[in-house]
Amino acid sequence: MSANAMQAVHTLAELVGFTFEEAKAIGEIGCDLAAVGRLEEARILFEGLVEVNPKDAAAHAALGTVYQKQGRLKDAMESYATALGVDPTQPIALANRGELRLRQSDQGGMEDLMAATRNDPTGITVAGRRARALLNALAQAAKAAQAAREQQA
Amino acid sequence: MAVDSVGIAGTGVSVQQVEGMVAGLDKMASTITGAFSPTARLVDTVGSAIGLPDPIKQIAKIAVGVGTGDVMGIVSGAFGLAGDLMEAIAATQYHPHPDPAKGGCGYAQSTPRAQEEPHCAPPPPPGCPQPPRADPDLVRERQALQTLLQDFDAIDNAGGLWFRDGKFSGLDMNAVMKGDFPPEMKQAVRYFQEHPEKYCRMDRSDGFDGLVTRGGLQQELCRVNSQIDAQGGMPAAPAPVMSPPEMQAPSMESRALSKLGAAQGEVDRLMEQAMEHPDDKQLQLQLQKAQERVQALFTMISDMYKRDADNFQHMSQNMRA
Repeated sequence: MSANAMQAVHTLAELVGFTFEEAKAIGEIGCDLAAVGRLEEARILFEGLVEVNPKDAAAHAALGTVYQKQGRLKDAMESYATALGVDPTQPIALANRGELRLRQSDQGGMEDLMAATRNDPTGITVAGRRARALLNALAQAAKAAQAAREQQA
Repeated sequence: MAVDSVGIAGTGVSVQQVEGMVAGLDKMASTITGAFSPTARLVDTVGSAIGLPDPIKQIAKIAVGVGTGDVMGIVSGAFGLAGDLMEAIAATQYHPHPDPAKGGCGYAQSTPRAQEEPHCAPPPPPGCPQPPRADPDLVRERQALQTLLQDFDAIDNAGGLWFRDGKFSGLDMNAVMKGDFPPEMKQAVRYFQEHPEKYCRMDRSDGFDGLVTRGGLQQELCRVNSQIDAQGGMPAAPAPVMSPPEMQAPSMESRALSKLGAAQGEVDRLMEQAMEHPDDKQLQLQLQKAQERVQALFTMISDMYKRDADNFQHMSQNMRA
């Protein structure tokens, strides 16, 4: 999505009367398609959603997850970044970008994961729960390592 | 990444900070994790006696990685452990901001297309009651609750503890999803796995213990029914209901999706060209037309799914009548 489109005062959705309810319905279909592995169709739908409304952070984040499953990690990172540019609290974008960054040895991933758990405190999203589990595992690993060092000393 | 006395090196995040955050999660979050995490639940109840991976062993392996300074080993180990505890990587969820003013930003406020095309949905004649309106998600929740109540015994026993105890848990729900159970049961279970906050509401009848009783289900069904009644009954705009996508033959929708993909590619191509040649009016016109084509296709697909959903609902109602 171009910067021009992002900054547009009116989105295509607003111009043609495409509503939030319709977007949610499309989003659900995209999720269903992705869940059964029909990633190309899910990608087309979510790309369509961000095309008609570049201000929809949830659509950018969902598109990022589809790219990620397709192995298009650069595109996924861009989608998460765009989602967070629109809504810095978007938990799915934060959690998945955090995980990707950690896998790429980018230490900023920790901050993303922590922000994801802060912004999804009750674990409403799958990504938020996964971020919490990952932080928990990292904390336990750190604790175990400290204990081992203290024992050696 | 290596762990030292100040925490996870280089991240500026201390072990205490991470632990504090994890420990500071409220009880509901812990309940959710317990309810939806098969490993966590099994470790709590029967431990490694049934041969599941022991998280402690995995933590020890991670610690070895930390000790040897094997950065990726630590992270991979933690991912492995988290993978045991949690759902799949990058699960696709469309989760708009809970505040409709923010989540719906950039979308049209009302449904002008419905007003523009009255012939598609004629208003009821004078004297006829207006179609009742209710939140489609509430209606889906009611459907899921009814299914769980109807099949309560089967779900109660799905986790395989040889006897029914009048309660089901996240473990039973996971067993339903993985086992040979009817699609409507799986759909109902999936609904509550995707809405853990609603699962927690059912779990309130006898305190938070991760277990849901028949009474808890009935209580929640009563609450949902009264909410739907308050909103006016059946949904005004039901979300599309799809048959399992993998069972569908190539359809109109699939063909339209394929065209949409091509149209979006055309928009991307023209947009790049337009950025390189910002003064080319012809190019701008082409781009505008291509964007309109994407929008038209997208609207058409949306309408197709809606019609499918409406037809499905009418069929269901006719079968019940």
